[in-house]
Amino acid sequence: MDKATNKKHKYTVAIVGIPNVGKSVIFNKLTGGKAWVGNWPGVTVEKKVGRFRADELNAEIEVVDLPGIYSLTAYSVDELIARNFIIEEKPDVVVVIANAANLERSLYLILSIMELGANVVVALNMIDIARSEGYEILHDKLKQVLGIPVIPTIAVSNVGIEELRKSIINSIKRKVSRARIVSYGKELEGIISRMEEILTESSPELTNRYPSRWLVIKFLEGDEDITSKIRRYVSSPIFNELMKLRHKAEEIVGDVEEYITEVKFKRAMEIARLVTRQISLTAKINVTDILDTILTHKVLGIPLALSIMYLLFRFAFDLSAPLSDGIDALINGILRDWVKSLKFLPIWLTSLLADGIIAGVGAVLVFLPVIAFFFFVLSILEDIGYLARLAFVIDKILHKFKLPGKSIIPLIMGFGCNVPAVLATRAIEDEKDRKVTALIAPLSSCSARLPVYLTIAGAVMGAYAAAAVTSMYWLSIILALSVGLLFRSTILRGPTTGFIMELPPYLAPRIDNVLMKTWERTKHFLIKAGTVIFLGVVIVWLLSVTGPTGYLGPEALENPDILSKSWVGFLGKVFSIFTSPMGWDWRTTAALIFGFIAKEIIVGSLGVLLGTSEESLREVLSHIFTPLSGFTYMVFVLVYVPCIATLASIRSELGLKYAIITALYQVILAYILALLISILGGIAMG
Amino acid sequence: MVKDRTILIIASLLAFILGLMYIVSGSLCIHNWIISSLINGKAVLKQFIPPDPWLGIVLVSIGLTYTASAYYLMRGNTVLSIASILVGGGLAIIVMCLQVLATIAYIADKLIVNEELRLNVIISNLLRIDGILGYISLIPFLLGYKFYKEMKS
Repeated sequence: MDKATNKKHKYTVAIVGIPNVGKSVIFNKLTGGKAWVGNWPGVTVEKKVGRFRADELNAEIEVVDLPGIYSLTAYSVDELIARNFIIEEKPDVVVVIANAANLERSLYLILSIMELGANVVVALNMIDIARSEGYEILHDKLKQVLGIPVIPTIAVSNVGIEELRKSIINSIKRKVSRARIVSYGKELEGIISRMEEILTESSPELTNRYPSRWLVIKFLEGDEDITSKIRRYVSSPIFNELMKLRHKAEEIVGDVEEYITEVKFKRAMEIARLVTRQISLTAKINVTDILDTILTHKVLGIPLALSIMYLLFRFAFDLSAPLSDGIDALINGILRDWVKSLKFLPIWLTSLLADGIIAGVGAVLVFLPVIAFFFFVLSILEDIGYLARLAFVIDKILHKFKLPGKSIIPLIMGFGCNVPAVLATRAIEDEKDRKVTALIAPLSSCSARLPVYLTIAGAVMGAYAAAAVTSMYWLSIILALSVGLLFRSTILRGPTTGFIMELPPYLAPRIDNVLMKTWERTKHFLIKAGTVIFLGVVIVWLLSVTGPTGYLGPEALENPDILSKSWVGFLGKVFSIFTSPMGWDWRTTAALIFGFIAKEIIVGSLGVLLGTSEESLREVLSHIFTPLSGFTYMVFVLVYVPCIATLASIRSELGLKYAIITALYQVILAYILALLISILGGIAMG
Repeated sequence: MVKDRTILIIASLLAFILGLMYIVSGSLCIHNWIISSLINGKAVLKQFIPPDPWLGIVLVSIGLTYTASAYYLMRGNTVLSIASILVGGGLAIIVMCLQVLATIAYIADKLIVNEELRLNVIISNLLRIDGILGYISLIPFLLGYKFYKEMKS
């Protein structure tokens, strides 16, 4: 508390750094791992905020974890969020986590943030890895050159964290800002100064809000966001004068953006050379060198990547089986039987609870272990540093389909759940690449679709069941790539961006980090089960026990004749006009309608609509489907409209237009595919 | 670098032989899958070599990585030779561990749902080709790890 005013202070510290530099570890160390997660305004990019107490200041320090970025351009959502936060929220200190093992790239970001006029503290992380590679960073010299505090750290081992904390507190007390850290040459600097003067005179409210030098540099680079801001704040003659100066700058240096990037990179390299000292003549061989020679090998890299993906799925599906069966026995067995035994409840309520909510939500919760195991391994691969390599290795293949290598991560995540897959596209810088990846991500066959395949294939495919289920995954990959190519050649035409990615060193995964990530990703599934799916199964139950003639009673769920008179029967019969060429029964068509709520509901709905338990469902289905109609049904389930939660994610990430495009193209594609397979299969089978 | 080159040659030779075995086993996995799924014929050693095309790809990948060890050693690139043993061996051991864990999961599953535990399933799970070759892979992997330590020091 302030002695004079008796007022409690609150300070804000932003943490920023290139991806995989140990940002989250430092954030957790500073805040004690206590953080609350929300979204940045207007976007669904995750915002993590934590706190620590600074007795020296008698204050609470709020720590904001900014997204991992390489620069401060306006090309990616993450970079825009980071720069807007630094400029508009004006945090008291910006902690830039630098990679001592690859200083140039981190220095580029440090220089960019310093140009914003921020009060910067550098945490020079991974100094142990730099040493193992045969050199050390002279942090005192770096501090001298940059004129800001530089603290060497090994975050995973807690080295330097306390010093960093003290340095943050000192920097809050003594603000240091060096916006003019890079000189762009006499002629361009002259233009920059002139433009700064014009802006300061003509629009003080703009220059009070943003650092004038930075505004001018961004304007000269042709940054759309800044150009539109300047246009809004200054009069037309002033804007024209600024444009004239911009053209003059272009005459002098050519492409200004390219020139500024080049100068800044040269400066970063110059500083890096100045502060790096070789401590060993021959760099020691480390695990990253060893593994990367094979894992990113031009021949072996791809089969090894496919193998690792197979092992990821095998771990998730094979090892989660006992837990899934345990949940199934608990919910669909013990709990359901117990509810049914409660004789004092009205029959309709018992039916709603046992046949609706418990059966429906239970059928979904059974997949919770699969999803948790899947994300557990995915988080391990991410922490180790393999996911970055995977994107690098797959890049060549994906480029043939006009997709960037980074698309592979959302597409793989999609095999677990499509919702985090859509959210994961935010790491893709190019807007068109990002959009196309989000549009095709729902084609990844999520784990919710698997029970449908297993049920149908098990019922009608006999010895070919395994092949039929496997073919869904192949089809899913082929369709995602083909549709991606189609979008890239039509509505989202444009060049595919080059692949620039920092390959982080391999690190042993930290179990707390892995478990936290797994929980964050699995939590979403649990929330979905408790909200959307809960509501979905109640709707299915209601539409099954009521009809155009009124209330039919819970008997409808046991008697197909009564059920056919329900709303479900009505809807199923209407839609079966379209699905009859594929040879599907109206009840199986009705189940597809509910699959729109969540794919997991399809099997549960089939059980309800066919008046059978899930155990005898296969037997009943074997009389309803032929192998061909069963296969077309599986294909339809794979492709047709994504679930509500996925569509909501697409809407929040890309807007309503793209959510509608996704729903429409998937329904049309699913119908065409199912019809084609039905016709061609019919011809082939005579 | 590596203190005892003879052991490296032996490790590389072992990796090469194991690599060939992995390639043959992987090819048989794919063959068995084609035979049993598409042609509905009789698979070769089905109990030990499952009809699984994905597992086939994994086994062939391990095999190729292992055989690369001998190739690189012949070309005088010790680092790549050791890297091949480590990556190939590491992956082989992960596959083997997964098979063992899957067997444990099978036992747990049967106990949870109160179904009969079939001993022949447990034994054939543990003696599957990816399990057997994985146990043997411990030897070249440990040797590879020893060489890596030597190079690092």
